[in-house]
Amino acid sequence: MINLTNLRFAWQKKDVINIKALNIKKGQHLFIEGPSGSGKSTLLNLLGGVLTPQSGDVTILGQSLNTLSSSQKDTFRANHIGFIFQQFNLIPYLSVLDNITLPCTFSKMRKEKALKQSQSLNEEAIRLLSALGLDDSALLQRSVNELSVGQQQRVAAARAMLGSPEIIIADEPTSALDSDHRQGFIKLLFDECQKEDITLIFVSHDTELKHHFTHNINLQQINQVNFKDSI
Amino acid sequence: MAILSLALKSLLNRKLTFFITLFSIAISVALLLGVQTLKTETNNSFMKSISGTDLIIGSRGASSQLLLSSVFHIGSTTNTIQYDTFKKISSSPAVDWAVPISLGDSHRGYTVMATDLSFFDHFSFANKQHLKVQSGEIDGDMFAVVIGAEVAKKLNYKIGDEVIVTHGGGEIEGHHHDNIPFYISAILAPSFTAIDQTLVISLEAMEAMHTDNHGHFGALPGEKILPHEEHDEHEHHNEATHEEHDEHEHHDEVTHEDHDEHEHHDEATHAEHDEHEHHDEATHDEHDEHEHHNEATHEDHDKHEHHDEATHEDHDQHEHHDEATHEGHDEHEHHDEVTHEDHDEHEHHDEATHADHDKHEHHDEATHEDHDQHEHHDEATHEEHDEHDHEAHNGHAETQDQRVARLLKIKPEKINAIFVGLTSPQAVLGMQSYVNNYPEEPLSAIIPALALQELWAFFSLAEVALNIVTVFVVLVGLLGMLSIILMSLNERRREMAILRSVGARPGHIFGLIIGEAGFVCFAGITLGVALLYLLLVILQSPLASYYGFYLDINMLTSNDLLILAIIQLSALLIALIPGWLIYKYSLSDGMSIKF
Repeated sequence: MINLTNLRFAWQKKDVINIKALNIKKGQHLFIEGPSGSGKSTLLNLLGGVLTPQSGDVTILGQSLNTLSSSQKDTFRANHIGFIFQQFNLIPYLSVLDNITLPCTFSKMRKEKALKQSQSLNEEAIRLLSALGLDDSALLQRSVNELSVGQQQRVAAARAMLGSPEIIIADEPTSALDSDHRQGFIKLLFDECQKEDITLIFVSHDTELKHHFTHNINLQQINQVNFKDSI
Repeated sequence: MAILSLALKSLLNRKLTFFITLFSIAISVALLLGVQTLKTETNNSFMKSISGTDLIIGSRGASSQLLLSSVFHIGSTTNTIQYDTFKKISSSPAVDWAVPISLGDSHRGYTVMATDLSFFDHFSFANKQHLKVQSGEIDGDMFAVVIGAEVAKKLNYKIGDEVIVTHGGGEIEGHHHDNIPFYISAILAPSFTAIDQTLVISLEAMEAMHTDNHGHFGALPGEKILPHEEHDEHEHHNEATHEEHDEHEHHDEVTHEDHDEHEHHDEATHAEHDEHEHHDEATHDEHDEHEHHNEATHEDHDKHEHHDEATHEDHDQHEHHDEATHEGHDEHEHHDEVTHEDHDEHEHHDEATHADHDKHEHHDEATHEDHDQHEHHDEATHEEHDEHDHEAHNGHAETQDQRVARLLKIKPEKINAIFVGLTSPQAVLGMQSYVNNYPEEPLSAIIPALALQELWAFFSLAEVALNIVTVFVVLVGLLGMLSIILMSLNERRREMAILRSVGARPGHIFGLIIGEAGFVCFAGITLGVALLYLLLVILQSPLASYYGFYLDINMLTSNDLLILAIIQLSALLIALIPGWLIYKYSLSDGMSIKF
């Protein structure tokens, strides 16, 4: 469902990404291994349609991103992809629930999907939170800044899952967690993605996590950019 | 809308910087609008200073000077015009009414304006409002003064109080016309014109104070100097009489005071008595009969008293003496004819003396118990006092000079300006040119409305300067907002990346910044307007009572709204800078959280 073909991206005249081909199937849990500086974030931005490649194309769910305008790409991303970042994933001035329902501000499709699941967006957010092991209602009243890092990451995961996007891209979501929480978080993430039939792309430099995944690739292997030259 | 609510929530998350920006904009807006309001109100109150007056006529000179002096009572008014000119102009067929104005004196820093009663009928300000009386009553008395509201308030004056007028302006300089005190007959309601700081007196009283002798009229022929007058003057007067009219003096009971004092001297101090005796001797040579009389009164009081103790013989003697005086008096009259210029006056005086003398005699006969002349004098004083009280208004004792000034029926000779109302507005230009070419003396006539506008144009430079300053104040407020938004950008790049990841377009991010600036500015303007009205409400009464400046609180004018719209627009334009920056960041950063 995600196809990269001859994808090239250069930043300030230096190649960052040069991938001949990458194929990700629906429902796959893919681990992409890449140390920092391997063009990991650039690849994620290309997948999200935030960056436009100099050549080649990204096709997601049969839709070529090249054929979309940048605002159409923004809407497409909002509709189909949920993101989880490393840390500080949440908007500090929004409540826990507002943070979770934020994608619905930009995507009608996800809002409709979420409302199919529950009566209201908040209800759906609470459902997702409890599925992710955060069923303490007192938590909802708290400022997101008062949450622990583990709780913040679960709130971020709930946001990524709300409205059942087809794809979740997680960029080092566990690097700020200690190892106990790391295992727990990955397990919850897997369970939910399984349940919702979500394709998960998990990017990390932490090779220890590799064994959780059915598929894994090394970015440095598929990215044909000579980093030694460019750096 | 979602973006605006996000912008608002984002703002509230940064309360401190938000409120600082908010207040800096609010204060600058309040200042700008405040300056506009002050400008408008100053202009209004300036233009309202006079209305319904078609022409102001004064001695030839600059129109602004005439306007300033006659309407605002600012500046010196040295040039005068003849009162006859006023009479002639007011009798002109085109003239509906004319009010003479005379200035130049002051009372504790407040202008004293002399005019006649018609001033209160014709002078109007603002929308042809006439001056209203707050308390008391305007009467046409020569020495009544009508005071402005501020004068009454600041100096804490009330009806009936006495006021001394000072020659010239200023608080200390000048001659005090303290011999002619005025009493307050009325206090005017505030008009917020120069009249509030003015004391209005009659032209006649003004003229009386400015005669060659500064209103020190002394005794009028046939008048007796009032006994309750100041001691200094009294003595001075006596001396004068001594010098000029020795014969009269020693002719004796000519004036009760003299007589009384002489008697008093006799009893009290021998030294002075000697002097008097010497004086008497001097007159011996010329008038034997006088001498005789003097001896009769001076020589011995006891004798007099003895006589008083009622013996018929003595009484006869007294009568006889009286006759003798009469004779002497005749002779004296004759003498006056020969030597003195002011014969009439003396004659008149002599007659008065006769009367008093007779009265005196009569009294002596009537009250045998006590023939102390001192007491007699007191009674005489009482009589005169009563008479005087009858004349005085509101129970105010009048000074000798006032009484004399009244009796002299002083007419004004010179005035400073004439306020003229014409029968038809079409006559203004014709009348103006007639006045400007007035054959008998150089005059100039100004049209108040035009002159006010000309004068106001003079202030336009200050107005422009003030505007520039306030515009810069607003600009500084907006630049403060700009710098605060710019500073927040770096810490907000993470926020932007998250928003991008959930599907926000760069346009949304841009809108977030513009919306934030727009909201801050709008809130600032709203707060600024509220602040302005709060200030106006607070300042209204102190401004009116301490500065005589009435601040009218109005709705915002269309001009104000335009200014506010421009400020709001400027804020949005200024926000384009951080908006464009964040747009660029969001494109390059994408979803990556760079730090």
